[in-house]
Amino acid sequence: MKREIPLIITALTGIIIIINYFLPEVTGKVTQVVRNWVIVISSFAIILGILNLVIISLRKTLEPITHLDDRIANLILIVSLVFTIVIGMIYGVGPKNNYVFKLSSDYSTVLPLIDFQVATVDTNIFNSVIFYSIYNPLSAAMFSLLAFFIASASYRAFRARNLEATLLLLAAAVVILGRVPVGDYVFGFIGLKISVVSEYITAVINAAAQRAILIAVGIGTIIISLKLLFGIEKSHIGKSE
Amino acid sequence: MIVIEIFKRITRRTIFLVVAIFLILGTIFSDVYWVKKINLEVLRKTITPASKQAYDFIESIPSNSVVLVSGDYGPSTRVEADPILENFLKQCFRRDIKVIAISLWPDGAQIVATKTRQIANQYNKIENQDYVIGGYVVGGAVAIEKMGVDLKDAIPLIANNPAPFLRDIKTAHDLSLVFSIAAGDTLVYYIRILKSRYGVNVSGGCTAVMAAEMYPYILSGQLIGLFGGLKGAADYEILESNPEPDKVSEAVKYMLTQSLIHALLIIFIIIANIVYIYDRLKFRRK
Repeated sequence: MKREIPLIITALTGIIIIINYFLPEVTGKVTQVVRNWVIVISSFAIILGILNLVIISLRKTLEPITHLDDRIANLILIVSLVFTIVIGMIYGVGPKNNYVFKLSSDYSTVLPLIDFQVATVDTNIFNSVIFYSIYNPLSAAMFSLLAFFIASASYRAFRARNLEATLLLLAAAVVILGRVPVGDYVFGFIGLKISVVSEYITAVINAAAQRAILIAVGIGTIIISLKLLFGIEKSHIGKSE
Repeated sequence: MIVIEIFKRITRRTIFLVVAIFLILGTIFSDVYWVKKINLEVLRKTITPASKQAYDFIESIPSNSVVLVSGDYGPSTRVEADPILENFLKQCFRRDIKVIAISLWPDGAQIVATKTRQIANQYNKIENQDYVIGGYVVGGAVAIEKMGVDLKDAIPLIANNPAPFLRDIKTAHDLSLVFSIAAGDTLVYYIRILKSRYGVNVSGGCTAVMAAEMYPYILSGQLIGLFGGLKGAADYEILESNPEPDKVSEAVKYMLTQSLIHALLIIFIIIANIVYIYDRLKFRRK
């Protein structure tokens, strides 16, 4: 029964949602309840995720076998998590606007005109310090590393080894240059509008391939969904005992 | 052959260093007047058709209509997504279109709320009268599905909002447009659920890496245009404000940095291939 009940729930929920697509009047209310359940369950999943993260990090922090760097990193994670939650609960996330005098300069004139302006500044510590001064730059910095890795990866990966690789290389080069002004500026001297070529590759060749992938993924999703509904696919309820 | 030997010595660290130098130079020179002027001139001539299509559709929405903007991105993609959101809000407020601003990402809610209030202030728009902030909407695809049936049930923060324009809004079908700025799958969810099932007009913006995936939807008419990446954002800024070189904002300015890095990528690819072909020819001769 431990395996049968989840399978029955999956099948019933799936069938209700499918019927609702064709006959919304019949199963409208039931579907609404199911949708609310999904949202409530996903909210609980966040709590479960936080608890799991705290337990794993605590274990890693306290275990003497773990490397010192990892122990410090895990400790920072727990402290940051607790600190953010506490500050968020105390101060809330809504704006707390204060009027401040702001120095503004106009450099368009020969002599800079300096005057004071009244501006609104959000002084909520959660917004101004935790979100905009800590989380925002850290998150942007992590994502910015991508520029370095892509440069390094393209140096090593884009090689004209055979015909297919050469075509991929040429298409990538055209799209890379076609998306920025420098491409049109440089190729403009020989009368080539590289952005138009880039747009053709993206809108015609790429779209055709994307469409094929999308249709294949759609068919695959239908098959997996049917397997789930009929209880053939059981991976979502865990390993068999 | 000395050049080839020098090329062979290029390591990952060298690449990182050169990229860093180009990034710094790009950021410094992006504020120089003549650089901005050249950037603008080229960008004005190369507006992407998808950007133009989205802009024209928003321009055709009648005043006092209601649109929903969903800023589904976090701080990591703000450089690309923020200018799209800003220009969309500017276009809506300029045309007296009422806005419901939400985010399906927990860290996007803060950004969307701040940006909406900032731009609204510039156009003297009043919160809960000309626009409402719906905050973070939990549930992703399920929440979008709920919007098709009951919008206020899907966005609890606007359920009891006194804004007069919300009185006639029952479902997403009553909206003139749903505009999603996505750094993930949400734009695709909006298309698949709200457009395909409920017939709601969907348009939006996305990061540059996602833009290629969106083209089948644009060509099928399920997505009304698209502002793709920083180029899309720059297109939007030019279409909306047509700024002079000294008045351009981030999207147009940062195109120089992006230009330099893209050019650098091409140079690295050419160098790598010169070395590769040279080695192959040398091997064949042996």
